[in-house]
Amino acid sequence: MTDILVLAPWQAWAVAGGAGLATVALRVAPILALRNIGSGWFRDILDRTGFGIMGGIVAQTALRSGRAMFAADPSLQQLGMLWAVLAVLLTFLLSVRFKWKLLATLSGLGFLALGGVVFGA
Amino acid sequence: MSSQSSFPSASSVFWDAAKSSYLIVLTFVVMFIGVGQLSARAGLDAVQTMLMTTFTLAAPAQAAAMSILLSAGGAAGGAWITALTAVVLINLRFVVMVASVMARLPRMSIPRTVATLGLLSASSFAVAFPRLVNDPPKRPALFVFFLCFLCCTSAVVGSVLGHHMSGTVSPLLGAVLGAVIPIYFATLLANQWKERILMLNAVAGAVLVPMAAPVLGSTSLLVVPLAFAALTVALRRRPADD
Repeated sequence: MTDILVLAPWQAWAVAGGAGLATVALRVAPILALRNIGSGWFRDILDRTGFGIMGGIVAQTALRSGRAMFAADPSLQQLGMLWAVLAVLLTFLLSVRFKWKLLATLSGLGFLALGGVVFGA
Repeated sequence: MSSQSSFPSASSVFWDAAKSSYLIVLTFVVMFIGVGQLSARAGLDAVQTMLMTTFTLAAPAQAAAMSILLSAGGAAGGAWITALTAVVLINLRFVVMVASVMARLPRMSIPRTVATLGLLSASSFAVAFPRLVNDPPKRPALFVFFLCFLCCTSAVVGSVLGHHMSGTVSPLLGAVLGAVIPIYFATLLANQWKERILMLNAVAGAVLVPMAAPVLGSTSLLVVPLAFAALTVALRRRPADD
């Protein structure tokens, strides 16, 4: 580690504590504001938003992982992103078809690693 | 029916949560090693790193904050304010995640709800939420609490380890470990295959969020799924209203 920065102590505490407190406040806000969600259209929106967020997390982290796989070679990063998306699709299809969870995850990871080894060689 | 089968013990709920989250727990340790290393480089000590990880519990937000401190030169300016703002913006998604999970839990007092959801992360959300929709545990609040606790503990362990480590993980190994999250989450989404409308929203999120990210930044993960969900609910309600 060559580039350790020196924050003033209060700044380091402000970042560490402030980020934690702010995030907890973001989690507590809906708990205080939405006490009666019930089971109508509002919960429908939340359910669907939840799955939309999951889809977004899957896509964004897959693309990030694919890019990171070829961090040293920018010309391969697009291919890495595509390969990671294919790995996710393969996992999804295996899981739908065979109801696998761990085996589908391991297959997807194996597929991804294979791409990293083959294209990185 | 015995009382044990209708109301499982805390230990059996804990093992249920552990069984549901072990892949995420292992991945968190590795993922947060990177966060801990960044924190050390940005000038946070181990206690500050632990404090930040415990309550923030968001690798992208923490990594962004540390990158801002590193690129701005730390104490040279008001970089710490920019870093804090970045954390808040990136973590706005937690508002909707908490609301979504809360809607699936039995009504509880505010302190109990805060204790249950106060440490929710994107990953614990992604494990808990489909389970609550698809196959709710008999003690859902305790299940979610243990899930969040396990994810939080592994993140803290990873970040403290990372803070003390100077080496880096190879890009291939790092990418494969990082990919555990999307690949495992794909299997959780696959559980909902028959819920076409939920799958439609998941696919829309997967396609539209990365497309919107260059414009909306980190808020795309909040804004796009919310807008699409509201649209699909509005379209469904319209014929009934007519």
